[in-house]
Amino acid sequence: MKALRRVLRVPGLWLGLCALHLGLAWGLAQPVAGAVRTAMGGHTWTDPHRLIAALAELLAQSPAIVAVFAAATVASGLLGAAIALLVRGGVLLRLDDASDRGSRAWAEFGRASLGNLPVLALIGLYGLVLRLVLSFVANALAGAHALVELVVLVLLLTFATCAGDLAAARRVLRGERGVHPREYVRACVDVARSPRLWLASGALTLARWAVAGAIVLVAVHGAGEAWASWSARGLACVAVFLALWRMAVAVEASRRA
Amino acid sequence: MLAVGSRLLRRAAACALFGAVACEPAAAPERRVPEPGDPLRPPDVRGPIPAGIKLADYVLDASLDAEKHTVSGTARITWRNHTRAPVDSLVLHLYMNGFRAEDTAWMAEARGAHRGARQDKGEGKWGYIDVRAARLLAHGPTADFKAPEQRDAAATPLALVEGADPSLGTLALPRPVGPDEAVTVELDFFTQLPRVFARTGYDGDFHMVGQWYPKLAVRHEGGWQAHVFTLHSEFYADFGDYEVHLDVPEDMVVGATGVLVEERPPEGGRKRLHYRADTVHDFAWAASPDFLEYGDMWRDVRIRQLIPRALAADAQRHLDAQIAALESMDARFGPYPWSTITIVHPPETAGGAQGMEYPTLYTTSDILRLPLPLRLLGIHELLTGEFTTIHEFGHQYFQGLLASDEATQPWLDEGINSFSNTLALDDWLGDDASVARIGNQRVSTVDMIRVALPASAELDPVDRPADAYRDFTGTFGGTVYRKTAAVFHTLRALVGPDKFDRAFRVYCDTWRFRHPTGDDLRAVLVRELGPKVRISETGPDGQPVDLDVADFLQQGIETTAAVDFAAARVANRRAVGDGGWHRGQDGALALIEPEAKPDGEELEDAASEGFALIVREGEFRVPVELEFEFKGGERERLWWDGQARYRLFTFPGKKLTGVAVDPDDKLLLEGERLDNRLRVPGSRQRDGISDPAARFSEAVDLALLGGLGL
Repeated sequence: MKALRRVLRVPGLWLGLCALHLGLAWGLAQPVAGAVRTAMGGHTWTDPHRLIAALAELLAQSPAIVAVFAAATVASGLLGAAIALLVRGGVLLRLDDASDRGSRAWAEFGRASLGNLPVLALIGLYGLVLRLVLSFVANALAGAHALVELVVLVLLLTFATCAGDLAAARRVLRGERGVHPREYVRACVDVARSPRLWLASGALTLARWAVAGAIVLVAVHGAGEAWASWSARGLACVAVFLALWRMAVAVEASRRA
Repeated sequence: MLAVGSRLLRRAAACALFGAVACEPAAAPERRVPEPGDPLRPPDVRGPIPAGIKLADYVLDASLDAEKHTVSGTARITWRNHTRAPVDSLVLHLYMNGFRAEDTAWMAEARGAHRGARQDKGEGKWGYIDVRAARLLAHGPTADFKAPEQRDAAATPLALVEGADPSLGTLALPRPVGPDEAVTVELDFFTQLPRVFARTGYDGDFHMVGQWYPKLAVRHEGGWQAHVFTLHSEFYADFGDYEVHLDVPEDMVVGATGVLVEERPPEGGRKRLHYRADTVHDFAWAASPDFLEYGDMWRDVRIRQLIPRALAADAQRHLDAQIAALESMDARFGPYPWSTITIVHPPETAGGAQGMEYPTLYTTSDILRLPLPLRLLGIHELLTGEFTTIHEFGHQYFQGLLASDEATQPWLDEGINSFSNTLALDDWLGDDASVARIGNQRVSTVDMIRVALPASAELDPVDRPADAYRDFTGTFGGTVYRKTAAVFHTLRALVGPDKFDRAFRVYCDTWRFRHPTGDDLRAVLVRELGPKVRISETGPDGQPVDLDVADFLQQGIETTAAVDFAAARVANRRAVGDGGWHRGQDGALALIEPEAKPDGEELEDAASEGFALIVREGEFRVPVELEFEFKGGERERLWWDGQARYRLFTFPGKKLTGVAVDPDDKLLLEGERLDNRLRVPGSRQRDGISDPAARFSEAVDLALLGGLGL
């Protein structure tokens, strides 16, 4: 619960990150809307529940719309990863110490983010290597059972996320250099020795992925409807909150170690 | 109870974990219903069978070698010459020879693939039929040759000569068969089944035995209607009675055309089955030791499903579709005449055998198994299973009962059947039935047809022989199935469903148990609907708008013309006023100055004139309904005969806000409809697609940002 309290003490951080996500998603969707609008050429379609037929005709006439949609989707994935890297240092700092610093807070946030960026990128790289290794481990453990492999892989990926958070927190908050792989491995060992840490962080990671899945479900079940858009935006804010909570768990762990 | 509870708990846990894999409903216990005694329904239910239509009777005696996948036996064929000229030879289809070598007409076009299934490379690649001996048994008045044990010692040997393509063979007779005379011949044949990839063959223990025996062509006044077996061509044969004796391994569960009239006790690991089919034009059967049997009744018709255990959970869904098809088609197209229908479910590994029709027996296709995540997305579809069942059953009418020549005019069976299938689906599920759903979106029967039109229906006209469609173009399905269905749906919508349905029923009643051609169908429709159908009493110029039925059918069936209208422009302008110099009654010019309006001020309605430009972009000329919407919400509909290339509609004193071409979606033939509705420039109304697309894109972006971010 200490970790949760850390998040609740920084509502501005949460709201700011939510605004960033919502703004980016909205902005990335506008080229899609523009491409469709141009292709429609002022004509209208009136049946909101038969969009599949309409889209089949539209995309056959204007296949570029698919490219615009795909570009927006890829960009959102890349931007999501980039934002995670860019703000991580500042986020960890704010979660560690939420005291009111007035205008100095933004400067410290920026310094922590940018100052730690190269090392956090390196830790991210170690994380990618670990994820690659773990995917082989999952494959080996599961044999031919694809579903078992998926479950094992998901569990192991939560481990990698937790270890990455811990290594990053130690770098930003405790001044560890974090460059040598040995320090990353130490974080992994500490996570492996602390099942409660892995459990808490893993549960929050899974919850966030579930929320991301729920956004897709809502988008499909309410395709084109306003309630679905607002639900998706609300769920995205929940996903951001869960991510902050998970990082706060790592902040707590770094203080204990 | 505890043990059961534990099992349930474990199963629930497994469901939670493995979702789609572990939660498939279990197969219901097998159900058997008694075999009907007569292959036909009672005369007072099915109606009369016209005299003199049974021209080819068969007695088939065959043995299946399930190890070698061969069928050997004899075919005793009695044929009656109903033409006015003597006939000196019989022409036989040897369909299985289509799979004999790479250079047969069928294989040369298919190049080893059929509907996505590929020909195996190894053992079992080829199939063939070899007629090893032929005899003339009788000429003139026929004896009772129905029992296979009866042999005529005095039979005259005959020689079968294969044609240039081995799917045809000719049997020269010692003397011609005169008009109204009959001839009985007997052929010893050996059929090697291929590993199934196109309708017929084997897969493991499963055997789908279709197009397996020497089968007579149809004699017209002008000669034999015998078609080389090609990729898209199907079948054409005379009606007759079939007595079929099958010798199969004891453990085989067999489904066949007609009804089982005798099963001898097994002997030496084999059993002998005797089937009888009345007034049919083909005989097919399937055998597998893995079939489960589910029998049901619809009124007095026995429905028998043969289904592998792995697919047995789908039996009820197929049964529901089968009953829906019987209810709809029996009422619309006349009583189903036979007392049985057998649905064969080929195993998943024999997909090439799926979706094929034979008299009183057809093969259907598997219902797509969706993984849990896709089911959570709300994906539900009737296309992979139920639709196939309805479609293949529909062939019992088109062409099982209305036995058109599938090779010469494939649209008469596949296209008219597709038309009938959407009616059956609508009867079952409600008008404009949904055949697939994804979330809150649906694909209707109409969408299913329309989506296929623009891409495929503009290269070939509908009325072409099957072998004229080239596989390269990929137009066969879109043109023969979908465009034909669209032509008749459009005609039905234009003349009115009740009127059309009455006319179409006359066609069905007239041509039951006969061989209708496209001209026959068109003649009935023109006669019953009338050459011109009044669509609207008042067109744009006050004169009535009529539909020329024959012209509509000619364009729809014989040309590649597409229906395509577009709302090209809609706007308002200043109406013609009375300003300027006019001569008064005294003959002098007088100036009338209209009241000046400041620039940018909106015109009053009375001073405005709404106009809309409607363009016929396609070559197909057909009346079309238009709906004009005016400021204040008032709407006005009128019909345009669609003959000219375009038409400008003006409305003095009224301001238009929008126009819709074909607002009730009657012209299913129109494949491109996005340009049918147009608002005046500056309208605040959204286009209806860009916002939903943007919202969906934004949600996907949020999911990715939420999943990958931080």
